[in-house]
Amino acid sequence: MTDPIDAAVFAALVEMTGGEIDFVDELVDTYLEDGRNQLDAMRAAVAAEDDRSLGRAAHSLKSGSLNVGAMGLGELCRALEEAARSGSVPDASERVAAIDAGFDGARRELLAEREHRAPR
Amino acid sequence: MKEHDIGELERIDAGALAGRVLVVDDTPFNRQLLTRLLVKIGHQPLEAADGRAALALLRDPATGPVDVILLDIVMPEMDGYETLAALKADEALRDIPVIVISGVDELDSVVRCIAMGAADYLPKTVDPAILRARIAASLGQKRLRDQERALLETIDRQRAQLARFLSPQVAALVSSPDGEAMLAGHRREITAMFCDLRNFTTFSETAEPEEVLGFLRLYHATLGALVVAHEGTLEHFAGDGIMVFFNDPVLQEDHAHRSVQLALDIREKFKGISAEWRRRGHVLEVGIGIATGYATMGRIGFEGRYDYGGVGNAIIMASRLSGEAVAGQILLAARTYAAIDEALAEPVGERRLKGFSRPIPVYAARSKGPDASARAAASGPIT
Repeated sequence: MTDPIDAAVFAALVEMTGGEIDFVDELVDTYLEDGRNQLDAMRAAVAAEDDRSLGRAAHSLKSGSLNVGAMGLGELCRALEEAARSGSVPDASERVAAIDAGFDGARRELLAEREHRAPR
Repeated sequence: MKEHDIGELERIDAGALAGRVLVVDDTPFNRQLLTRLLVKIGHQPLEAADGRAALALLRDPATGPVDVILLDIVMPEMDGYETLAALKADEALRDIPVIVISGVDELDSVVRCIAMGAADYLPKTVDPAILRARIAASLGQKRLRDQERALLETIDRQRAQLARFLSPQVAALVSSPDGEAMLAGHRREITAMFCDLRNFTTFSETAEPEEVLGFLRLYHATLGALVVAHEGTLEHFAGDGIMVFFNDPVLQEDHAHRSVQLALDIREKFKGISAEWRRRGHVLEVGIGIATGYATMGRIGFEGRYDYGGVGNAIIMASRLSGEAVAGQILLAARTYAAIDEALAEPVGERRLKGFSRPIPVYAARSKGPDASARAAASGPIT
């Protein structure tokens, strides 16, 4: 878990859109907005001890993360999803906190990338 | 990981089939990505956030036809499995190809979905080249299925129309895979039944034409319904004469028995009609001949006007026996008599028939068949 965002995967996303950077920005915005919602859902699920909802939110954040290149975050989500499916997540709040931090790191890097190319 | 960009792909299959593709995924990022990619490769996307919403959309007549469905597996409110099961259970939706969207860690789910009828799967980290190829393949499949469905509907419609002109068995034969070979001609043992009316010539000369036509309509309707009920193949109606075959084109092991039962039913039904016309001053009675033997069956006629018919001694004999029959009589040839319950008929001597060098033994169906005596017994004690 070195870089929050895997540059090669992100480049592939840009390539997939045919180099349409506006579309990439839209996708990243959607990811960030939905990610915040999923994190809210995770925290609520931990408070309610609702493993089903917890797993679903982790699943949802996982697929977006893997597409934007947030591989480490995606892996945290995958592990949480699996644990939730197996039935008991004693360390749920620690896991969600780690995901929260991972998401924050990914968000910073994604926005920094946008800043970085903005003056172009 | 991704080897093609969109521009390149557009050049590769420009002119490929465009379709309406429904994206069913609860993650906004995935929906946005897929719908945008679909637009770029020339398809028209529709979106639903879960299975329930997808089914509602598909069942809404305002939505119009959908060619392919991209289906996520893990969703709240009806997941991919439930949605797939509902789609496959719905007559109107089951032919729409479903491509399951799956993460790399969900491959066993993909296997389950394909077993449930999904056409293909697509990895979540989507490569536009794969997206395009899989959608094109599913679209091709869907087009074929649509064409097949349209073709089957056409065949059904044509068969229904043909059945108004031909007997149902012949109509089915014409549109069956081995129809052409059967129509070209085949040899088979059949039982032929010929039925016509005594005194019909006198009747048509003395009655008003409207009366004659009215009578023929009733006669044809009555006999036609009985022929269908006994699954006979009606060869033709010609005035008061009708020819019916059994055991062709549909095989019937009990063809001789069926023909005798049909003749008995015709005679029974005709009693009432006959009595009605007698009150109006006309004597009309049926005479029936039945014979069993080999005949060559198939298409008879000339280019532009063919009938389904047969050539063989049994057919000629049935017609001659009908001519020999007196009012209300059912005459059988020896081979027919040999094939049925002997209580149904009795020998009535030998006859010389036109076209047959030697006299032939003839049998007449008894006026009280086992059915009639069974009915009499059921109706009360006979004193």
